[in-house]
Amino acid sequence: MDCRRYKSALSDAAAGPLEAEQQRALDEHLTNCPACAARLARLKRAMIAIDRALAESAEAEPSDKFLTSVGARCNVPLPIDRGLSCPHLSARTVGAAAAVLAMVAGAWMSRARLTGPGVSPKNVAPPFQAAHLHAPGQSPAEKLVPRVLSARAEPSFASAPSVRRRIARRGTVAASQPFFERVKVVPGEQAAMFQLYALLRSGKVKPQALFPPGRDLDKPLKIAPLRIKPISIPPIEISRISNASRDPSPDAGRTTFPRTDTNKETTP
Amino acid sequence: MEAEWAARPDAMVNAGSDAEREFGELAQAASRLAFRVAWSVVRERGDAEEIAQEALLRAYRHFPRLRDRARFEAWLVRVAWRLAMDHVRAARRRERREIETGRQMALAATSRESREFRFALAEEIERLPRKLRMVLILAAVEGYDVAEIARFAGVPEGTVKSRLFLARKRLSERLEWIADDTRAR
Repeated sequence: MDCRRYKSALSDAAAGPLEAEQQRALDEHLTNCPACAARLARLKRAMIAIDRALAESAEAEPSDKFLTSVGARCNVPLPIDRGLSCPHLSARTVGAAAAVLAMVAGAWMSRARLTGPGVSPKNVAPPFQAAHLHAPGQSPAEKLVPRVLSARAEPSFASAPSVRRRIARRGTVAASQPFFERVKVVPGEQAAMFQLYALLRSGKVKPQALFPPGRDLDKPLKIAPLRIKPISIPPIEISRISNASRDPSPDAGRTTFPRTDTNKETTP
Repeated sequence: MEAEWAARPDAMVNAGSDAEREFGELAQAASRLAFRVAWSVVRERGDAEEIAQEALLRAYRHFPRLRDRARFEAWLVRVAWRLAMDHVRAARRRERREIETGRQMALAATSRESREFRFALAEEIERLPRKLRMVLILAAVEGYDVAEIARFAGVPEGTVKSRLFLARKRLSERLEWIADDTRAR
């Protein structure tokens, strides 16, 4: 009896169900081999002990003090909470927020396509412009959405890691998610976008609330963090041409203002 | 252990850079995970909390060098696991010295066996290839489902399933001795 042939199958059987044919062959062997049957029983008992020990970890809870302590140190207010007149807006920032909203809008679009078989993505109406959004009594977030999104301008996805990965892996934006190209931030409506973002992040508005009524989502939507990178402002030099002629020294006629940004990465 | 963090209670709150803000959000979400990973090894809440704090502190220090922020959880798990293993190994060395010098009372047989098994389990998980270990910890310790782990690890769901199966299979083979009633005590 060649027990070595079944050595691996025994551990496979302990870790999970085998395919029908493999299981039948093993059963046949086990009826004639008490040694292998005993080993399988040992492996299964070990597996149970291992699974039990691992499961205990999943139930372990840290103390409230620990969670509070970590939470207090990590509870960083979003820049958006400090007001919308943030001077550090850049195209990248807008792109990141656009990507956030694209996630929300994308799910809506994928649902919308289901309603009309044969409707190509090009013919799908822009998201959030459905009639119910313009109905009386709409929420502040719903009022903001049509202002923020349109099918014209092109956002930058450079700062959205998930999108970047998808592009890197497939060479292009996933064909299954054409909505990324349709959800745009209208130039000049960045403030509205930030208001919407703040409402979503604060939890005052659930992302699901932005979707047409009666359309339940499979999974809760997650609002990705918004990253705002300060722009770097180069030194400004003002040449006092009128005074330069009076002072012969080369630097006398120039006033240099120091950098005014607080970006640690760019400041030497 | 948490001296540096504790000494700078406002370090995160007043953080100015985007990286620190982002770290704050990620760390808050993953603190429980770090604790559970540490607990799975040390099995003591106070020690596990200290290790989790240390893991978060290390993650904080090295966060700017982390290129793929989407894999923060997997990265934090590795840090917490490594710290917990160092902690438990140091504790075992200390215990052995104390037993050798007769300063520690012998533990009850069942307690000793239980501790031996848990330490052996942690060591065997440590011996697993990194990819298998990560999947096992995320699935078994934190209860993430296959789709979530696939997202963290950046691999297909089928790969996660096969890695999980392989990890459990190898553990059962290497720890078969614990179910051997005839082994020498």
